[in-house]
Amino acid sequence: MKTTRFINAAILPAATIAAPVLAIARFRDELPDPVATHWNLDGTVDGSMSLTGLLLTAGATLVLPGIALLVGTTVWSHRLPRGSAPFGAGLGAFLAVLGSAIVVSTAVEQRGLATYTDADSPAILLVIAAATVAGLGAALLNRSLPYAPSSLTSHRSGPAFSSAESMELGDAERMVFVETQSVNWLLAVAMAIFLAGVVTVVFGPILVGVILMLSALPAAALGRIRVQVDRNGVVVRSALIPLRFAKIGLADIESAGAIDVNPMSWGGWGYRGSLRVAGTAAVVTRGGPGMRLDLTKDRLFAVTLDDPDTPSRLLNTLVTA
Amino acid sequence: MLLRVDHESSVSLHEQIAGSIRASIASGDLQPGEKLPPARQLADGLDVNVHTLLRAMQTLRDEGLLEMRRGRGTAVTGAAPNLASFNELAKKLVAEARKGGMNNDQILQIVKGQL
Repeated sequence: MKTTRFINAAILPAATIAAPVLAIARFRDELPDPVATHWNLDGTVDGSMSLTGLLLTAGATLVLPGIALLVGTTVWSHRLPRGSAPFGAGLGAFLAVLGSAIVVSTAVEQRGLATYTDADSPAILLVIAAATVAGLGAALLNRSLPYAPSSLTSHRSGPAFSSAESMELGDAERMVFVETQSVNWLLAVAMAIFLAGVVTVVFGPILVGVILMLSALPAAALGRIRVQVDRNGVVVRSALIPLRFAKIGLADIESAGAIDVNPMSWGGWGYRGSLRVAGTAAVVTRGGPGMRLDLTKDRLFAVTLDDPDTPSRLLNTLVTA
Repeated sequence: MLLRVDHESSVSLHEQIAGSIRASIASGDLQPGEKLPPARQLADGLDVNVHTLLRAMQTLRDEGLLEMRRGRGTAVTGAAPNLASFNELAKKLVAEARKGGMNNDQILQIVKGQL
């Protein structure tokens, strides 16, 4: 365990910072300045950057965020939902090594050149392969860390969870609970991205604009969700676009209750986790009250709800009926 | 919003559903502008025919509580919270008056007398 933490939280990050800095320091005098940083499909240079610029860009966009993710998932691996820590560590290592290897390969391949336009296109496949290997390695190492998600355990047994009582429901009676939940900042983000897409379509590259418009969809989908609880179980849908986040049959539900949802302990917003793979999943739109379902086969599902008590009582009634 | 219907009740299903939705609006559980789920999804949960559910929604539309727009779903109107509570009161008044053996004209007379 100690070795794992040491490699993931110290050696890998240190190496990804040290390698590019050392490479540039070592070859600085032999390198053209600016260096070539972008190539056409046919291999001719169409972009350049100063050495410092390349170092800062790779550091700010890849290496440092990657290291943050890697260290974070290593240090807090026990507090993250099952499955998300190895994934985060893998992604973090991938990004960090990718950024680092891009700088190193640039320095190695372009040394001795008079001007950057002479540069051949780099061995980008090799760079990606190195990053992938590092990512997989970090993910595997992270998997060996002990898994004891304190947040999930406290969901299970802590005082935050109150098992709701059941309610009166006759044999011929049917009840349906529906809550529509809006998260204004998500809707605002979706709207902003969408408008940026529209502006780009009109004034800029159409493809980029369309991609921007499409990328507004996840925020829009999550910005207004509708949870319906009835004799069939629980369904979580987007209220804005025809998308179903989750459907949990009544037969799979053992009991329901209220919890306090902290997005950080579920790994962020959106559909977190996986019932099939990890046995734990949640639809998280915000922090605050939510409903927790204990499912068969020791699985757990949660969804943020302003009124978790009413549907919990309804479910507990339906389950025992 | 919590809807409840009793399939064995003497009150018709569509009236029960309308009453349930009306109560949710009156209590503020359903806010003005809020959209109702598609009729099919609600009908399935309540174990009723879609037409029964649509009939309930039409009643509420006629009362001015819901607006139904083709392709845009059914939403609670801005005036609904006020109207809903008065409709609830009117329903109680009519029910009590009928228990007292009054006919429609007599009930209208009483209401008119208060105006």
